Amino acid sequence: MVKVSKVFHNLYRDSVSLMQVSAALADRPGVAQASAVMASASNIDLLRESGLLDGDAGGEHGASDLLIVVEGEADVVESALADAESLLTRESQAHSGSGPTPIAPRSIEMGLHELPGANLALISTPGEYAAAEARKALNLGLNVMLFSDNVTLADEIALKRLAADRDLMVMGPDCGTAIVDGAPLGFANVVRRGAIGAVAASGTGLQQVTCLIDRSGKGISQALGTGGRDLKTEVGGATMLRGLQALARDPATEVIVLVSKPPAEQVATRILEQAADIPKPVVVNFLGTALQDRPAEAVYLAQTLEDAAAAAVALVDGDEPRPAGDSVTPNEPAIDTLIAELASTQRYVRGLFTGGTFCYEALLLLSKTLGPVYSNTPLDAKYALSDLWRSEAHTLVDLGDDAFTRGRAHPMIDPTLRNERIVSEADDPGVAVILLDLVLGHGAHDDPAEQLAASINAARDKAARDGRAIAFVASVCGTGADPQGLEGQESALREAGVVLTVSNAAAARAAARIAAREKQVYT
Amino acid sequence: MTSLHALSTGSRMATGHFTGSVHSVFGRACNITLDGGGMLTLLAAEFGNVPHGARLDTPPGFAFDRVLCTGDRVGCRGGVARFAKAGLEVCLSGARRWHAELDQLAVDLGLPRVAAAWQLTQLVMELNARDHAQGGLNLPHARRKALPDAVGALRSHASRTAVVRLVGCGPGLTPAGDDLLVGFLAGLRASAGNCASRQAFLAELSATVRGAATGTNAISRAYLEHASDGAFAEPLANLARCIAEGVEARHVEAAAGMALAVGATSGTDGVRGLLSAMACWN
Repeated sequence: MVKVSKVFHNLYRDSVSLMQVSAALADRPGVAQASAVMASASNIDLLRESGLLDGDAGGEHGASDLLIVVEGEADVVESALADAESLLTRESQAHSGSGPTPIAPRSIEMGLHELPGANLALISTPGEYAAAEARKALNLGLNVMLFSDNVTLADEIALKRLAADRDLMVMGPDCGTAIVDGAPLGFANVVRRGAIGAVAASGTGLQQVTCLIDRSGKGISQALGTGGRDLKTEVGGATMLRGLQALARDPATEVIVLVSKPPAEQVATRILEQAADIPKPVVVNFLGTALQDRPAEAVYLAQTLEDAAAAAVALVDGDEPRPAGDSVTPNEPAIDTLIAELASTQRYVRGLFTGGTFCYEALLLLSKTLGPVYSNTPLDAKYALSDLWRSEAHTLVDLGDDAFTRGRAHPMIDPTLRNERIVSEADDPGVAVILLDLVLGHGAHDDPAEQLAASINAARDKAARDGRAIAFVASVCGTGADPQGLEGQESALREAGVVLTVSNAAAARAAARIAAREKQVYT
Repeated sequence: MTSLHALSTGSRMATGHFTGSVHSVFGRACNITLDGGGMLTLLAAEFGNVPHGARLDTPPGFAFDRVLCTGDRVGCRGGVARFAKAGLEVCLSGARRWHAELDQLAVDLGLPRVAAAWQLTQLVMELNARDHAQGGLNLPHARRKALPDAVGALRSHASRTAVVRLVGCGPGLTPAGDDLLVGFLAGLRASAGNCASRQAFLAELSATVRGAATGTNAISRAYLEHASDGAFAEPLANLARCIAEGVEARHVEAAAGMALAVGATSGTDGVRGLLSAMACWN
């Protein structure tokens, strides 16, 4: 390691530029540490104390001079210093000196002053502050998307009451997905604009429905999130009801889709009653409920997310909905062939999900056909995993659950944990099929399929060394217009030998068939 | 010839007759070294006032650094400053004169509304604080802490030592230690009230800051010198007033936001100094 320094006499650059130069230097491979500071006596002392400077900076210098010091590998530091010099001697950026600079908004009120036409505030702060920020936004006449979680139930109720008083909407708390006037907010996909509006108490549920609608060639008017607790008794479905009414009034919306895990009974009743009063078709998908009776002719009950999307697409075309059915893509490797490769000991499905609703939907479907399924978010507490890191029999894991995301990023952003789990599942001789979801869109990993494919290949190779084959089944929730690109992601997974389906429900059914050794049925 | 007019001028801004040269120039501001000593600053319209500056009616897109160069000469006669080489004239006369009145305040954190305003500012600062780490050189916590510890106990020698160790210290064009000192002086001035011992201590400390200011660059030195005379930039002064008067939370928050937004990190350091000083004398 060597240290070099250079003094620039009477060179004044604003603090932002100095920070940028320091950061750019420190980021260079081979540079251990670097600093761009004014050459005051105090800073010379500090640099010596930190070990960045040995002795003096060399030559004459004073407080009005700029000093750059770099410590790193010998063949890197001189060029790093030269680059820093050229950065500094470029014309200064728009920011002015160390005095006042253009003021970036630091509060909702300041932001509204800069953007007086805004009608929505997206709030993502630590939970203990989020409610206060949401209250401020509502008092300023803004609708709210509350991305933050860890907001108390009491605060959620109070905020939604305040919103109702002001004829505004609160999406959230813990609302991670919305598409408002075509703008994807949070973890959302790039979808066509169109005539189908959706309100969902589930982020990935909303993503699945909007992506399937896009895939069918139709589009989305608005996609509103309610937060996961909205349909609890205490909250009363406040946001879902508000969203339903808003879409009923929206001239661009012709068909409405509602999505949630099982709501509280009274809340479900109230929502269905209101849906029945709306003069537009409403498709209701309350996953896991046993609703059979349609409250009105124009209210359609869907059992899965893909059914909900298919129903909405049919209705917007003026057709009667019919179930999506088993939509395994015909040109995938034959499931019969995969079944034939399995040993008799290989009986189990292991689902590793990044989307909580996908895990839940798969639990519902697999439980019907395969019997008990273990999970960290089980349908029945009897089948809670005793060790989250160890699967038992049929197991579906929601890797986005708090237990796995404490201190680390969500698996949609950082797939490391899932990729490791895929390889470790291959050690279990009882595993027949590994079931996966892949979620694209804004906020998700740049190229999730690449890393996933690598883990799948590693797992397959590991099992093969023990003389076993493993089937991999997945669905990709995304669109061609998403930053990651649906086609490229699906291609990468196909090359890794994954059976791909259009929807999460179809993937779950395909996995169940493989484990149960049922012949594939094409529709 | 491009003509600009001053919208407002700081209380310590020369407006009548002076000569000088451009010391440093940026997109939306420029500093001028006066031949008779001292510095003044010309600011674009969107900024708050500074004691030694003038806010000008700059049109959108106007950039000082496209018009002026370091070393350009300027002469002011009858309230009109002319940069002959650049073809720029700035009319300084007739503008509203701005000044802060921190001496009239008397922060009392024993009053619930004042304490609430202080705490809210602290909270906003914590939520908005930018990362000071720049290539491993931070303003050491010990140096930051030494000043309020010494001032709280009215220990003159320790305070003087703490001041000297802060001047010119830390990252930024106006080093973090200087910004902290400016904020600290504002906080003390807003808290001294009618207490004779505090007034005396503040006078002594201000003299120390003025004397130590030669240890930093000219731009930062100007702010330190004005602060030692009780003159502060508008965002910081406004925040001090909001806290001292215990105004409504939304006004405190807006004022805190404006003060924190100054510079890249200068605002945060200044607010930190302000709060620290108010706390150590309450």
